[in-house]
Amino acid sequence: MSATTLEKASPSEKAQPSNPAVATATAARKAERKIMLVGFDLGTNKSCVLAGPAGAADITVSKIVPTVVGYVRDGIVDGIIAGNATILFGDDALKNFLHVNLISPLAKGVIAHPDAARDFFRHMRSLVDASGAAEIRAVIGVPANAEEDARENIRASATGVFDRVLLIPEPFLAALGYRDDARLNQPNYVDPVINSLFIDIGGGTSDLCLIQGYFPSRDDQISVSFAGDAIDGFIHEEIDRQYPGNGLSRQTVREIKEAHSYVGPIRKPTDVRVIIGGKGRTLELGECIGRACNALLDRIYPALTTLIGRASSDSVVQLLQNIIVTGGGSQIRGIDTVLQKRLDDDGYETPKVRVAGQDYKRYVAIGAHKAARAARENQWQHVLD
Amino acid sequence: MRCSINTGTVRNPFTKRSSEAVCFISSERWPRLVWARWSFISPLAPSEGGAARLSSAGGRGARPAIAAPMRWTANHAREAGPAGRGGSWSMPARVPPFLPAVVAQVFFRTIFLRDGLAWGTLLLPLLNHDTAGDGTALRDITRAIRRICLLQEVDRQDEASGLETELLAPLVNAYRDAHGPNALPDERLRDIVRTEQERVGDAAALNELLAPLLAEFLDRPAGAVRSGRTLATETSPLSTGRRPAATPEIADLLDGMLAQEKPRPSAPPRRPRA
Repeated sequence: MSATTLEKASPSEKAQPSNPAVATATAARKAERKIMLVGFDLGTNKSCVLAGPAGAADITVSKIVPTVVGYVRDGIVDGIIAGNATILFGDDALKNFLHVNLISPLAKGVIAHPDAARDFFRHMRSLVDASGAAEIRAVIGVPANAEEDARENIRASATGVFDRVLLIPEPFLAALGYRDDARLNQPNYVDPVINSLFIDIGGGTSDLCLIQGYFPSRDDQISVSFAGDAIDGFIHEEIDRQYPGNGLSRQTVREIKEAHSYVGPIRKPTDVRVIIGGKGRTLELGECIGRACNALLDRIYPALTTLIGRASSDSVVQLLQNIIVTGGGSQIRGIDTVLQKRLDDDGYETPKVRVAGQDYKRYVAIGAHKAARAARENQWQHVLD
Repeated sequence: MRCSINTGTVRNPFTKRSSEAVCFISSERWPRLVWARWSFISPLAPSEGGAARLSSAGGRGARPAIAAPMRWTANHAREAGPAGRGGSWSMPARVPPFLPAVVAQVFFRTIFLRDGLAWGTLLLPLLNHDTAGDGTALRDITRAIRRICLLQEVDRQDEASGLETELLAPLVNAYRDAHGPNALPDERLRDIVRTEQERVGDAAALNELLAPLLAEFLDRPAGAVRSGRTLATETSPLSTGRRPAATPEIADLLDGMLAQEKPRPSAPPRRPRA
């Protein structure tokens, strides 16, 4: 993958002073400025960033950060918050949830709180470049078929934080990240970018994308606004109905989901131990978890068959062998086998559905980073004030 | 029998040694036979009249350095040195393919590269790398695991699964019956599997690295010389004649994306105040 070429700053760059010597020095300083290439998976619940200097193959930053900003409440005693910070991010914000107002900048995959999103972007930038002197070029993942105003909100939040951006749909980035570049020459290796269907189940949205050797058009992508957060809500409502007054937080429900989620026939009993009112209790949650996760499958399946129907007849048989589930939803037990069985029962020719594997959290960011390294100079978009 | 020998250097993927030598040998009878020597002895001393540059790569993450090959002739014979230090060794003027003198001093690993063959045999050096220890039974188990890992590496999962049940399981059971259940605990078996997986992965990477270089050294018609990437596909033992579809470049895909994006409407110009 070729590194982004560096061009010397041209004299037509804005804010040129009248003194030619100063202009030359300014241009020279800009040309010397280090460039950091960033792959940024901006997730509703968790974001992943991979970064490395342009012209080098190594990745110097690799972090997964909960997408949450905590604004410290007024009146907090000095020393309670480390460094007396006024804003916390990610795990720090969650740890100090009692002392901060927690804001999730994103909802259903798009920016819902622009100010919090900008603060979060600044924090991610500081992780990539602590000095603040480097030029940051970021490829940012967006939900499939994101509307123009959603993309504008991301650009607006990136203004003044990143120097150049590229917004690319997440399932396509997942395919790029999943692609094993070392095996491209092997004749038995099927490049996921050539002919595959990716299902990226995140927190806010479940995005499906048909990828067949060209950049997917809008018709090749479907975004379903039912994903991890919706499952959490479903389970939470069911628990509140079955066990009124349980007082469990949404975070606890999410943890229960991540530990016990499954699709397919209802599994009972599924006993889950929780702390309610300081006492340990065992709740039987098999049915509500199963129904919530099966609801996700019921929404994804029609989108899946729609995209399969859009593939050409010459390519569809191989496509059916390359259906890949990634994102947090890929960890739902049985999601690959149940989807595959459904397709098989409906008469599709030898379908094969598989989950992306343990690195599911990073594939979008890996793909974004690959795209950042491969993007040509004229493909980057400047973020204007 | 005429025989030409060229040398270069690679970094040993198994021992991670920083200074190694690779002998590329071609002869009429075995036009594509490659002997690769990895050893734990220290780097060869420079010869008179131009030395093979030895890799100074070392430490983790160092990339193998391929030096310019030097054609060995009788003039470059060396005195045999003690194994472990010194690093000089003798080569007879006319070197038979099996290099008995070298075999006597060092440990060989052999890679056969011929069209249509699968990986062939990876014969591991016995001294440093045989994690299974002495004993024919354990070596058989290690070999079986290695074969399974090789099949998994080339995506022949069904055959790998078959070997697990038909070959490996009986070997392990037989060993445990003979030596007791504690002779080969699961943890040790897992260690062996892990080691073999690493070796197979390293061997796959080494094959991709060496194959184009090998093609340059071997006698080939001039018209058959192509780019390194294509050569790797042609000479690879994994080649079955099916070529992968053209891999789209990411930058070209991004051009497609940008072409689809609607141009953002530009803000109307501000009217001057009256």
